[in-house]
Amino acid sequence: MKEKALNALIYILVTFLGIFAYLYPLLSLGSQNQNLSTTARTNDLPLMMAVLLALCILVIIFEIQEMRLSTKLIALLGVLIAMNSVLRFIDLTLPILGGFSPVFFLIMITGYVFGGRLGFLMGALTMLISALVTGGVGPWLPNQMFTAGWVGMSAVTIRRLVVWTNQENKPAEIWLLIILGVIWGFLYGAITNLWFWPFLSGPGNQVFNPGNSLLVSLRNYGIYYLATSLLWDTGRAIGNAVLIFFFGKATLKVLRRFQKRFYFVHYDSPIRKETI
Amino acid sequence: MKLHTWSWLSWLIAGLIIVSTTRNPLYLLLLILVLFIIQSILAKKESHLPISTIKFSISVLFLSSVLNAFISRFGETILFKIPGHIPLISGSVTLEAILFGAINGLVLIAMFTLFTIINAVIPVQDMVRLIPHALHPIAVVTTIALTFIPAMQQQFRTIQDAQAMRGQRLHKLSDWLPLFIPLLIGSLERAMQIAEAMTARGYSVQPIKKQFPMQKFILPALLLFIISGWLVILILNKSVLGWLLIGSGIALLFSLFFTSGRRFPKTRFHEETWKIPSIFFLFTCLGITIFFLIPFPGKETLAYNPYPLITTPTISISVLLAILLLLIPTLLNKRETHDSD
Repeated sequence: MKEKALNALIYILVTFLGIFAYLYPLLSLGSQNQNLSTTARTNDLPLMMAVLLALCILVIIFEIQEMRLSTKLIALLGVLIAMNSVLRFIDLTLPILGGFSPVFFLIMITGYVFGGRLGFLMGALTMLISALVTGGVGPWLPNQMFTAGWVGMSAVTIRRLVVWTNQENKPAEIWLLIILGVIWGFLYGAITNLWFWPFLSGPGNQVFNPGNSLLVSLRNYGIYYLATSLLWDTGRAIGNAVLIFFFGKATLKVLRRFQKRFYFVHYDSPIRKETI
Repeated sequence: MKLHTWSWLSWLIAGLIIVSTTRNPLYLLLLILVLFIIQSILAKKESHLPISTIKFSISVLFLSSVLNAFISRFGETILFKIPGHIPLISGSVTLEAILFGAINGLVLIAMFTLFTIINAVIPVQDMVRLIPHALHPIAVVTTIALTFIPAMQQQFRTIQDAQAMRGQRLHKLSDWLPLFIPLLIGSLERAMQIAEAMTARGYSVQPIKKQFPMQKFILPALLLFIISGWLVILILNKSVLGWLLIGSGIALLFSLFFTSGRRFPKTRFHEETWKIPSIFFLFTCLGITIFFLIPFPGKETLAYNPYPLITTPTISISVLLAILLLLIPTLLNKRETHDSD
């Protein structure tokens, strides 16, 4: 019970710190001395965000692995991440439909079947490994890792909803996953844009102005997002929906079949030991 | 010459500190020039600057200048006015807005080039080795994934060929299902085999020392330290106290990693050695970092703001020299090549 409460506290704090890292550029400074603090702050924002998010990722990964990942789960994750990284090559080499990326499909389905913790690892490590392979390591990486981790972790809410409403293996299950895919299609873009948005600094109603209130900054960011990213992210949202619609049912069936094998644990029976 | 991975990381940190502390376009231009020189010399099998970097730099510089010119209408040096009431288009285009956008572009180019160089000079295996020992299951996952990417590509091609021989053509999205599902099943079967091989080699029966009782409480405590530190900086504007709290949180995290890492027995097949050039390189980078971070007396400002009226940026010889020191890996590289010849 105490352990569960501690785990919940860790997740709440990490989520709070993560949200704080994302909203940090939008918060107003105590100091209203615009010239020097503004320019210096505009420069350090992406790095601050990267450092904060990297800390969040380290803490949450450390917490997840403390549940003692078995050899089966380690191998499962390794192989699924390798597969997803191959899918990311498609995303990088063929910009098919705006922000469309096939990686989120497997992240969501893994989180849905194997739980939020594995979903988080699947999302975060997919981004890390594909970045290592494609030379995409940069200050944007912690941001991508954390957001993709959230994508995988959030799938567990759909799982709970499906179990609660008794919709397992029914069409509603796929439709709920499609809704999740569409939401993350837009949300992923909206969150990951935040790392470079402060660079588009300068006066205007679409840009970041240190010293503005949170509401004004959110409004400016909203206008910027609608003007520059909405169309691009629509491609990702449609892509997620289409992939879940066509491949979701078959993939869920395969993963569920293997889930039983991956979670199979053999314990030595004490009775057998005594008879031996 | 292979410089130590941690030396390269200190070089990256020094570069990032320069990028984050100055917006003086002259310093940024010099930094980018230095980075381009390093990239040209150190890029594998290439004696010239990779075209992708040049393309990226030109497009970023152009886009950030033009976008900012149309987004921002401030500045006193009006170049021209676009008549009418078209949103984002009509209004005054100022030289200050273009320069501000260009500075933003320079910062992005410098950051991108720094990481491009790091990606080129540090092998993937060395990057994996940077994963803290406390996170060793994650390092194993990463290693498995990296090892299996080529195998996965090969398996994909094999399935594709097999399906093509059966007359399967990829016309619409649903045609990919007979390719994707066998790939997934094959991968999961392979995962089972890897797990069994790991168990057979005794991976899961390694003796692991127990956590000390307080360890579970350290994680939330360090998070509280970091969050409260940021809040103190932001709301109370007390940076010393704030950084002290953040520093305590980070120190707790590292101590937790250190003690957790010691719980697992480890074997090293290859260990990087510290040689004099790497040590020299490390200390030089630390010196650059300290120089840019600490506001010692007589140090000229690194800040620059083109609004409201453009001014000539100030230049300090010491800052220029500090930026030029980032070129050191190219000199160390040359020296070693000469020795080995």
